[in-house]
Amino acid sequence: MEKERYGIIFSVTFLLALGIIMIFSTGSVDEEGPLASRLFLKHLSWMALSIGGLLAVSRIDYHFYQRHALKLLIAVFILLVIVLIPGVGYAAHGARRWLRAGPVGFQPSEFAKFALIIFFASFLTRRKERIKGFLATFLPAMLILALTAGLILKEPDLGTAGLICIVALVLFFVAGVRFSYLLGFGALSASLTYIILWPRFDYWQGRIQSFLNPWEDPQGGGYQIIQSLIALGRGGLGGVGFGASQQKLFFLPAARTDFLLAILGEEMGFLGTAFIVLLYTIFLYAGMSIARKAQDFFGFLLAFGFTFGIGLQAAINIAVVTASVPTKGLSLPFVSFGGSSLLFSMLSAGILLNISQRKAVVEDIPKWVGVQDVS
Amino acid sequence: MALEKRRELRVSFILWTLVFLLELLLARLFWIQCIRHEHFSHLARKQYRTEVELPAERGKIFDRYGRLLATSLPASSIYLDPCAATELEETAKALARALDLNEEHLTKFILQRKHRRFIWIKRKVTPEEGQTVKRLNLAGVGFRKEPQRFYPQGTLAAPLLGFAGLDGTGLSGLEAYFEETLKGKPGYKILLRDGKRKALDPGLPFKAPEHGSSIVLTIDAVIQQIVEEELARALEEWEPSGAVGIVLEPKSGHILAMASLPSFDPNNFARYPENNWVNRCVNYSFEPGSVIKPLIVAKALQEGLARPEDVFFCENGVYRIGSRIFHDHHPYGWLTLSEVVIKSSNVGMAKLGEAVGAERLYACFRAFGFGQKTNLPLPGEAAGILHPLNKWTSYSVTSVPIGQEIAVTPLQLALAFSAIANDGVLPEPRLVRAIICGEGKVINPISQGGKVILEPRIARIMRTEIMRRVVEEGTGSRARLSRWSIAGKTGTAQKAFAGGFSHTKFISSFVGMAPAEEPRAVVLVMIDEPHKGGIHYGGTVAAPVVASIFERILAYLQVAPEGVPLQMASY
Repeated sequence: MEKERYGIIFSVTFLLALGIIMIFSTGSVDEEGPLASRLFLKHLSWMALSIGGLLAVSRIDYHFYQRHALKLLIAVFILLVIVLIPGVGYAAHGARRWLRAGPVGFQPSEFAKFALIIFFASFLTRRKERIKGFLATFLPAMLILALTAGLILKEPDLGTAGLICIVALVLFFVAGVRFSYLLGFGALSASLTYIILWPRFDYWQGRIQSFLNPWEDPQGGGYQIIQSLIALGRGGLGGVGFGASQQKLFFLPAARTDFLLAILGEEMGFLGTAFIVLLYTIFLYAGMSIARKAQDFFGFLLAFGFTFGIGLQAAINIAVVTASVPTKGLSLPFVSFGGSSLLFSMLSAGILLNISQRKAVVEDIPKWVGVQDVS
Repeated sequence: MALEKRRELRVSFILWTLVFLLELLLARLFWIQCIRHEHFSHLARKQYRTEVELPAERGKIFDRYGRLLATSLPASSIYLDPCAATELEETAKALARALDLNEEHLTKFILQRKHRRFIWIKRKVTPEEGQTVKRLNLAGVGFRKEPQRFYPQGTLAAPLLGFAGLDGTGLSGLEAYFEETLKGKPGYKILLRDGKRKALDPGLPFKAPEHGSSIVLTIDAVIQQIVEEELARALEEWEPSGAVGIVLEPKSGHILAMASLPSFDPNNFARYPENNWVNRCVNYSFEPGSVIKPLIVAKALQEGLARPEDVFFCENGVYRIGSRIFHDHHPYGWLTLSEVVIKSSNVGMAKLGEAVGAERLYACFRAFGFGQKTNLPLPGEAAGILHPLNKWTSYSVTSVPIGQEIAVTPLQLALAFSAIANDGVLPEPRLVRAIICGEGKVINPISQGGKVILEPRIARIMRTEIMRRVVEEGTGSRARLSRWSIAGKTGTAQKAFAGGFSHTKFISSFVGMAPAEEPRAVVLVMIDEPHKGGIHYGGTVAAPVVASIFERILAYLQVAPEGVPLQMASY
């Protein structure tokens, strides 16, 4: 699976490089003055750590995780609970999402996203023979998912909770869980969401309203999305040039995290954003191909889960930045500033690389795999 | 294997769905970045680029010797950025209290504009108000320097100078007429601001303002002051509705003083009635009365129709033409032409008018400039009234010589007598001596030169033989000067109304020139509707004012007294 491996390495390398460039650019505008180095060095440190993590993980046989899946799940629950404790969890912008140790922050929800894919892959592999069962497979899986998502919603972090649910459901779908069950669960959770959100109906209506017509209140609810569109639009085809973004000068909030793509689009233009989309497409193809050719069912589910999770998160981020969906707090994988997000994206990529290195046992090769790839 | 097949279908479905979504987003990016590029670029420019006007300094106004009459000083104006203010209503209340504004109005005004980033609260505040607001230290409240017009001489020459309004635009007088010259052209600089509205280093197109040009007048502030003081004294004495005084240098046509009372303080123009803003020297015209007589006589002499010593029978004070009767104040029998002027006989003048005839009278008035604007740079100048010949009646030849059926402005009258003072050359009136451009270049208006209307000999006869005797022997005796000779003429005009003349409202006037031999100045004083004691004769009301003005300005102009034996021949 040489091609796939190169595809992953190529796309991730370029995404990381673009991220470094853009964080260097946006980091040069700090509230404390033009001190670019502080943020940039922070990002570089996380990047060094993440690359180290990727290299390490790519050398660990992925079956290792299958054995420790339950421990990972328990760790997820513990971390998600303690982050909610005031004084322990660190809050910013009205959400308690971080655990802090000195200058280093850590987001348990990022870890949850990563660990839950491993757990479900392992869980579904164990129940491969009873995959269509309701009580054996579907119900426990849904309970675990609901509990995790519920804890994340409590922070609140609607974006990550939603992303984890969609990734898990799609994982169940490709694993062979009955479609009717998933549909039923989808309907149930939709109505539940509606009931939960009902008391804050005005707030959500306001958010949807500002998504549908941001120009109604350009200084209020529509501000961020308008600033994002202005940044992208100002870039044009070729961009205004590296470092020349105007929107990063405190016009666009979250310019170096969730809305980094807008600044990239301003400085590098449509050519830059199209290149980003191309890189994610390559990553998707390569990751999916690794999943298809994986040695076993666990490898398949793991590769699919990580690939789909990263691809979907990227798509949602691009959709938010282009005002195609309402604003969510999701970063652009590999590119945005943010330690835990970068680390777990890289660990996912590392596991993908490890899966691609394991040769498929001949009898496990599905018929649809081209013979030329087996070598 | 069926399971594997289905799994593959599901994986493909998910992959292609996601890829399709990414392609949709790519199309969306293309639409935003390439198709709507211009639109969003424009929005971006709008929010980080502000064009800041660099105001041009308004030119100054100086008198003929560079004494400052009008200038601009920096004043402080207060604005509010409602988006930066914390508590809008509290801010509005505090501002209203500090600046003496209506609290309700201000609050409403601000709340209606709460999405704006700049609104004026009060412009050109007093230093105390500025200090009070500064001490309040309100968020979003800022100060901006604005020039405020200031008239250091106060009321001096106010109706002539006019005034500039709140925004610095000239609204009357010279300030209005020379608006384009004075105001200059504002420049601009482009400011870039970040999302916190902090200005960034510009390095962008910058255009320096072209400052306004300054104007040097022919007015002499000292003479203007003298005229206004003397007029004010007359105002106190006679309680008229108004008074004007003009001092002209006959050789150059320079207007040395142009006063109109009651006046106002242009620093606080709004506190005075609009009537006071009017410059009566040019904006009003009225029937001049007897003061016009020397001009007719000069014309008759010039045309050779009469000589000064020719005698006229003055009908003992009552002269009947058709249904019209002329009266003299005193009955006279035979008078020489000189004596007709000296004693201001209406009967004599009526007879002279008949001799001169309508065409020549009309030509005479046209030549002296009546019925036409002098084109001084003053707004709203009146042309006066000089009916065209075809509108003249059979009585006109007798009415016109005594200053009826014609309306003139004080300026026209003073100018016409300058021709007599200037040996027959009607000078072009000048109010502006020079214009100093923003960059220091000086422009001197080109003089067209005078217009010859009398022979020098005739003008000299008028001055030294006729008008001098008006003062020495006739109606103008109160204009006599202590050290200089003076020539002049009195006028007492009944104010004309529709269908007749008022018997209670008069305009008393006196025009004088001194020294009579070679006049350095022509002074005209007109007192409109003197009230006190039923006295209204020009010789009584206006002549003493002219005399006091001459006494002071001739000394100021260092004119050597006449008839003083300065050197005795000792050999």
